[in-house]
This record gives sequence, C-alpha cells and structure tokens, in this order.
Amino acid sequence: MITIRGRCTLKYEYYSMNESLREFETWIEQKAAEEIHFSGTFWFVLSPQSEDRFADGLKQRPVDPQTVPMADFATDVVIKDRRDRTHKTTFWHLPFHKGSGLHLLFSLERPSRALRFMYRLLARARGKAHLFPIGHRLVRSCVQLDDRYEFSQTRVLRGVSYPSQPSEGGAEIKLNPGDAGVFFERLDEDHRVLKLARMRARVGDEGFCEFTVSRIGYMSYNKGQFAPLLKLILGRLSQEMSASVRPFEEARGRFVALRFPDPVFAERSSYSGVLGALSRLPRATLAVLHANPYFHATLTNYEDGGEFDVFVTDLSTVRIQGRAGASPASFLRLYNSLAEVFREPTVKIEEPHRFRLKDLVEGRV
Amino acid sequence: MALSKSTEDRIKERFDEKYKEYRAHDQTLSALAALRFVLEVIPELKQETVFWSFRPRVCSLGFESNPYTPDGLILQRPSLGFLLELKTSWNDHDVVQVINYGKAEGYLQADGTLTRFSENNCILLGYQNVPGDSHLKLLFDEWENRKPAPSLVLFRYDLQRAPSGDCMSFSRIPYARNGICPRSHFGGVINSARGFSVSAASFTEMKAKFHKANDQAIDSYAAVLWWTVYAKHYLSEEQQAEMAVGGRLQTPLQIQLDQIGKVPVLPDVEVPLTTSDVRMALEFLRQAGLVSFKIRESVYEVKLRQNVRLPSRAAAIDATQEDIAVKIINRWATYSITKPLTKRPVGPKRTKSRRHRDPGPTLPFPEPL
Repeated sequence: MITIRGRCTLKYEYYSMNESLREFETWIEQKAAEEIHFSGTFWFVLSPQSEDRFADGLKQRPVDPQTVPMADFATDVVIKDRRDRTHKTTFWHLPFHKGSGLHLLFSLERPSRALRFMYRLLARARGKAHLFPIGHRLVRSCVQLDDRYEFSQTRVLRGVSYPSQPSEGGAEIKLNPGDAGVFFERLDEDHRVLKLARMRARVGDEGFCEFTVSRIGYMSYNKGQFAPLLKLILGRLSQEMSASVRPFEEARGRFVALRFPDPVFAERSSYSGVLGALSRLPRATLAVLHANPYFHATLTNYEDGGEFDVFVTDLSTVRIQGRAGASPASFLRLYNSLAEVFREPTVKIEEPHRFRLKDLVEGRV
Repeated sequence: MALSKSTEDRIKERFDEKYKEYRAHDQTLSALAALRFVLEVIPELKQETVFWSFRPRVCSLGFESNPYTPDGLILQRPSLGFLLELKTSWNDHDVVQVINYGKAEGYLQADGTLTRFSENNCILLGYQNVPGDSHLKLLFDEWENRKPAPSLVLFRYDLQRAPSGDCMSFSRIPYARNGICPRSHFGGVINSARGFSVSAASFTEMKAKFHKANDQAIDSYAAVLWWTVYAKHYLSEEQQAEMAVGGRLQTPLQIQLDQIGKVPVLPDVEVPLTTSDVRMALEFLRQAGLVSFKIRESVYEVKLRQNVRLPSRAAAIDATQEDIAVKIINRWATYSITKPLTKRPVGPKRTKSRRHRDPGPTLPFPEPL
C-alpha cells in the first residue's frame, strides 16, 4: 500500500501498477495516432519540497485518472494576453518519483507553447521548484531505447545547437539530420552546446519511437511505440538525473568543482563568459570581488535563497562554494547556466588539501 | 543634458580611484585567506600554533575599553606571538599604529580579560606596495626611539599570475634594519630569502571567511557585500517571496536607525561586517542612489532589486558592466559628482536642541569609536 501525500490512500499492487502503466501507454499511443503533430510532454521538475508541499505550492487539484491515466493531480495555468483573451494549459502530475525530489509533470500542448505556462506554474513555488536541465550527457543516454540496436542506429531528425565559449560562431544552427553517432561526434568536435534534439530510435523487431529532448528540462513523445520511452524516463534517465545532483546534495560547504573538457579560461577575457552566464540568471545578484588574476564572485539566488561564492583559479575549472542552506536545485541552476555557455563540465566535490611544510617551502601549496 | 567633458572625466577618475581601492582591499583579504589557509592546513604550522584570531583586540593593562585591532594574532609554542597588520601602501599613520601594537601588553579574551603576551613577540607588517627607503627609515627610526619589546618585520604580499596558476606570495622586505621573526616553522618561512607562496586554488578555500580586515573596511567593498550578501538577511518572509518572484521589492526595505547594530550573523564568515561597516555601506549606497534616509522616521529605505541600472549620465568605463560591483561604484562616482549628498538635507528646520541631538545629515548616527 502506498500513501500519496496523505490526502488519499490508493492501493497499488504491482499488478494494478503495471496495468495502469499499460493503460497509460495505450492511451498515449492512441492520442498520438489521432494527431499529426502530437507532443505528450514530460517535464522534469526538481524540488526539495515534500510531495504535499509541492502539490500545495503548485496549487494542484486531485483529478480523475480517467482524463490522463496514472495522473493523480492536475494544475491549470491561465494566462491573459494583451487583448484580454485567456489561454489555459493543464499540467498533470504523474506519481512516479515519490520522495526523490524529482517530480514528473505531463502536458499535451506543444512544448514551445507550454513552456511559458510552465514557467508561470513554477513561479507559484517561489523558487522551490526548477526544471531539471537535460544536458549533453543526459541527452546522449536517451539515444538508445532498445539495447538490440546500436547508438548510431538512432536517427536525429532535428538538432538545435550553438557554439560554446570561447569558440567562435554565429547564432544557433540546425544540424543536418543523420545518425546519432555522427551527430554527437560533430557536436563534440565543434564544441557545440545541444539545445534540442528530435530523434527516431529503433525498438522491437520493426518498431520505432520518435521523441524530442530539450535541455530546458522536458522530453516529448511524438509517435511510435511509447513503452520503451516510458521505461527510459522512469528508469535510466531518472536514475542519472538523481545521480547528477548527488554531488550538490553532498557538498555541505565544501567546494564543488565544475571541470570543463577544454581550457576555456586560458584568456582572462573568458571570465566575462562566467560573469555573463551567472548574471543572466533571473532573480539572482552577482558581484565580482576579484577578477584579475583569479576570479571571485559572490552570488545570491533569490529564487530559493541560495548563496554562493564562485571562483576560477585555473584554466578549466569553476569552483563553487555554497553557504549553508544552498539547495541542490540552486546549485543546478548555476551549473546549467555555465554549461549553456561553456559546454558540459564534470562535477566533483573537492577533497581536503594535504600539504606538508616542505610543500610550502618549495612552492607547491 | 550633455555633460561637459570635465565632468565626465571627473566621474571616470573618481570611479577609477574607488575601484582601484576596492580591488586592493580584496587583495588584502586574499592575503589574510592565504595565511589562514597555511595555519590550518600545513600540519607543522598547525601543531606549533596554539591560538590564532583574525579579529583580535590588543591593549595594555588599564586600556581594555579602548583596544587596538590588528588584522591577526598568532600564538605559538613554546611562547611566541605574532601580531599581523596588512596595508595596501604606506600611510603616515602607520608609524603610530604599529608602535601602538608594539606597546600592547596583551590581548583581550572574549570575556574581556587581558592575557599578557610573552616576551618573544613580533609585529608582522605587510604591504602590497613596498614603501620607499625614506618611509622605511622613518618607521624604523621611530621604532628604535620608542623601543617596543617585539621585533618589527616588514614583508611584501603580492598576488601573482603564474602559468601554473595564480598565487599569493609573501616575502620579507630586504631592508637592512628589518627585523627577524622568532624561531618557529611559521617564522622560518617568513624569514627565508625566498618567502613562500600559496596558490589561489588553495587560499580561495578560506576567502569567503573574510568580508573585511579586522580594523579596516572599505566603504565600496562593504557596500557591494551588503547589497549582494547581507541585504537578503534583512528581508521578511514576504519580502523574500517578492524577490523570489519578481527580483525586486515593490516597497523599499526599511531599516530603522536603531536596528543597524543588529548585523545578520552569516555562517562560515569569520570576519564579518560590523555595525560601523554597515553604516558606512548604507551611506555609500545612499550616495549611489540605492538607499535613502528618512530623517523624520530615522529610517533607511533600501530599494533592493536584482538589476541595478546605471544612471544615464554615468561615465563610460573599461570594466564590465554586467557586474553589480562595477555598477554600484559607477553610480556612486556619478552621483557623487553630479548630485553630491547635501550637507543639509531637505526636511523641517531643526531647532537648536534637536540639532544638538542629531549627529548630522550625511552621517545620521554617532561616529564609530
């Protein structure tokens, strides 16, 4: 028996859970078959709040699971345009990741349209809920939906990317479609940041699944077999997402090092990239305390109250020190902002220094 | 209205001067962080050190109510003491200040009791810009005249760029009359001809612990820190939510004059801004047009917002405009030239008795001691 948010108690035996999943799969495949341009979008939301507070904060209401199978709560977001016309989008909550800090919301709008509504919805949480950015590595891990097929057997139908700093380049471009192997190789070689990819992966004997992944933090099912995609969303992708925030959860005052694959800070002028990336964060203030030779800035994230000191002391690493109470979501916000400019860094908590007097005398400290 | 060239130049000049001071102050804090780092992390230094403080109060017996505040105090086994003072560059007051430290008999414990120094003491006086020979001669002449017991050791600290990474270097000034540190591992590395250096990758671990040096805060630095770090802690829950949603307060944050003494305690900050620093910061922000003071209500009003804009008449400067520190200092420079705070603010005419009570419009609180 699983208690959901203390509001109602539902009996989910394994059998009925699987039944519900199958029902959901059938329902969404039917919806996709009815529409030419279908987008069933899964929004990954990171929030430190309990299920109860998350639901209350987003003003969710219980729903009849008949509307969207599996959904237990829904939220309507209404926006009025300049002509006073109202526009509404509904987000359903899917109760898959209880207690993990990761929440799954679902919508049936085109994501480009729903995004504005999503931001409006997240604003209700007053900084306590953020979209989980799906970076380069996570997108890569979405490419294969069926182990029987090679990575390169998935086709990238549309890819949107832009050059990372300090590489030169113009505005975002759409890379030519092709197999995923070539696509990702080219992204790496050209040091580009991936913004969105629509892919068609082979599944089963002759089946396929077409889906879109955006670094903003959503994944849309478009057509084909849905079950492998749902398996990915609930399994590997969610696990990798949880693993990627673990260093931030464990930081507790220690430095978190974001190491970029290239020496992006070889020129001091590239500090302006760090400054630009972080000062663009909405509802955050950033002041540079030192910029030459090393970089030190202090940042307050008003969205959730996180406070940080940000340092650059070598050619390829940004080091972030969160003060007490800095949440993983707040760290992730900084991480994502930097990853959007400099490509994706690896994340590591720094170990305490171990030096001896001899090191000090010989200039190794 | 187009500004005359000279006004623009004056704004730029004032900005450059203030920004230079801001950066130099941060370098002093980097040096403190580097010393703090080696004392904590190098086991040989840690073992010989029995006490350190970067907020010490020192004085002589009978003067406990008016102590001096050097930038650091390090006590080591068996009975050695180092009093630390860091300077950007020479100031004529340095002589008196250092001699006062040299004459101090002990340091004050948290409960106000005086603990006497041992006889094997040393004053460590560090400069970013090494004084010229005439100043050094003046300093050591006076030192020898007044004959304080400790030795006086001058050293240079300098933030250097190196291919292997940036580092803070410390080296004893090679001046014939310069003193020698007492014998300890710590004293030894300062006495050594090469000095020592600490990489930025290491000392930055301690950097956020220092918001000022013990006896010195720079108004611009205090203002920037107050705006970006401290201000948040004055907000009510409702105001925090307002900032979280809109990035600005609809109605200004009000800080009563008598509440200024309640400086928020920030975790992990060892040398935080004090009451007088906050006053100084608010006055700086007042001149920058981000804070106003309501005389009748005795209240500061802070127009807190994420995005600080430059005034239309701000001078073009080289530093990046995305940085709030640059914007605040540029606003201050612009308004201090174009709209300096008046000696007598607009308000009701004050009576004699009121004037007697009121310490003054530009600094609406008693001067710090």
